[in-house]
Amino acid sequence: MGAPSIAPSALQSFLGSTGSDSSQETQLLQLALQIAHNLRYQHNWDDIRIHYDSTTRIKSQPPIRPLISGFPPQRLYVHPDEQIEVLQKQKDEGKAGMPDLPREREWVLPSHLREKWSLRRFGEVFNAISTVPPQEDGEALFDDSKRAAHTKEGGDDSMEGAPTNKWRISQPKRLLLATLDDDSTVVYYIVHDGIVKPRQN
Amino acid sequence: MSLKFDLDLPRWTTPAAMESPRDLGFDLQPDLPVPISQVGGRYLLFDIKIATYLRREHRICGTQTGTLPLAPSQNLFLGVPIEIMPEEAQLLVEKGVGFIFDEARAHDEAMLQSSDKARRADYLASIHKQSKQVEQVRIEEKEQSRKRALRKRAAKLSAAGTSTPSRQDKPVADLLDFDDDGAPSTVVPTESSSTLDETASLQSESTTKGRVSNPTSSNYHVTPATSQSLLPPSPPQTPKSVIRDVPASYPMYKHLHENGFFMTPGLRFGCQYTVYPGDPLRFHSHFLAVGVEWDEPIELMDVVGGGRLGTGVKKGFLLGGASPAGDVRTFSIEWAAM
Repeated sequence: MGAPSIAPSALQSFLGSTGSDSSQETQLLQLALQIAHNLRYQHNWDDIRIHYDSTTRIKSQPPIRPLISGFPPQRLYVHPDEQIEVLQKQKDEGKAGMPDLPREREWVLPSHLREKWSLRRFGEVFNAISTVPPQEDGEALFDDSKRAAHTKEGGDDSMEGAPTNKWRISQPKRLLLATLDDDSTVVYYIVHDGIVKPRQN
Repeated sequence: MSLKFDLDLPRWTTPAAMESPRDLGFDLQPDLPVPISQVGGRYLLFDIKIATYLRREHRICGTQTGTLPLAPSQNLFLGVPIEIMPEEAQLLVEKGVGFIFDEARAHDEAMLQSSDKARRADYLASIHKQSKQVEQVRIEEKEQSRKRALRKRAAKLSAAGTSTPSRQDKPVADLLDFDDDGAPSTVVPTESSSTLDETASLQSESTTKGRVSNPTSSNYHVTPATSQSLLPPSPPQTPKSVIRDVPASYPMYKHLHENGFFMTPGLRFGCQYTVYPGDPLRFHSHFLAVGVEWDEPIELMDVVGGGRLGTGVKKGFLLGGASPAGDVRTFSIEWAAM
């Protein structure tokens, strides 16, 4: 009597394409892919891309830690002053509450909860990224061609070309620090490169 | 009530007495550098006007550590001395606004100096004068109690009618000799504790008709409560002293201070500083700041903990430190609710 064969999980099959060695490079790649999988299937992100190229290579700490970028389903971060401005505009127009804001492309830094970071390493990551993730850079991870057709509302000016929102380009750089725990939960933290006052939700 | 002293008190060790209720020192521009007392490893400000000046002009808030004389058995409302952090003291010294003086050592050195003989003579003379005043007061008190006893006795005699006055005299005289033993002792006024201001106020209120038996010596020896009058009028300045116990987060503190923030110790939030955009009396803090070294390994769990804690109390978590190039890099972290 043979044991019943267990089908691999979706994540396992997704990660199966990477090598099975346990080198640090592979581990970092698998970490990035696991975060990407979480973004796509738990949080419904679009157009998730993985970046290895030289601009994101962190030269002093080989191997390369790949970075991820993508579109959250709705706007992820609103600066408190931007929120005040938007609410004021709403009030002037006689409307109440926050409107739907165009979404913005975000960087994601994959990490495991037991990793040790330092100010130097955070500084290097920020030095290596641009303020806004480039649109066509990197490698797309999921076939999103069908999804793209559905998610067209309110996102046009941010989906094509560089964003024109003054808040996006004048604020300090930001990224999402994704922390993976051993129970496979991923929690995300917004990290700004500078002193940025907190949101008051 | 203004305290009237006979001594000429130097100003640098006494808390500034309010000359008038209106003189609150809001426009005070003191002579820089101002003294910051170092007592027991802590940096204290004893002068409330200097403390308010530092808060107003230099964004140094400090923490009150002194109990209030009107309400001593509570620690919700405290007063001078104001304790400042070693980082704040270091910053003030660097800017030339303040200087540290080691109270204990300065005091000992001043006491050992024998150069100023005139000051010592003045001091001894003032002590002597105080003991004279006390003796005067005691004599008057005795006189009055004697008169009271005699009056009572006279009243009793007139009420009783007959008695032998000679026999009653002696017990009365014995009663009045209770403290005339002539031995030197620390002065104890009748109902209150032995402080200089008590004897001084007695002196100011009592009449000057006391009969002093011996003008040159007194049976009362005053133990002085302070040695202020022996100290020179201005505290000795140590040249640009460097504080020894400045923590490694000082560059972060300095960077935030230069950016116009107010900072208070952050122990209650599990961080090093709570960072306010303005005076803590007017604003809630924006950040919980932790300063680390450039290459210090940071556990991600600590970052997560700080970020969660901060988001829970509507504050950002600020992680920062000085790079080898000298500039300070800071990162603001908050939980992304996705």
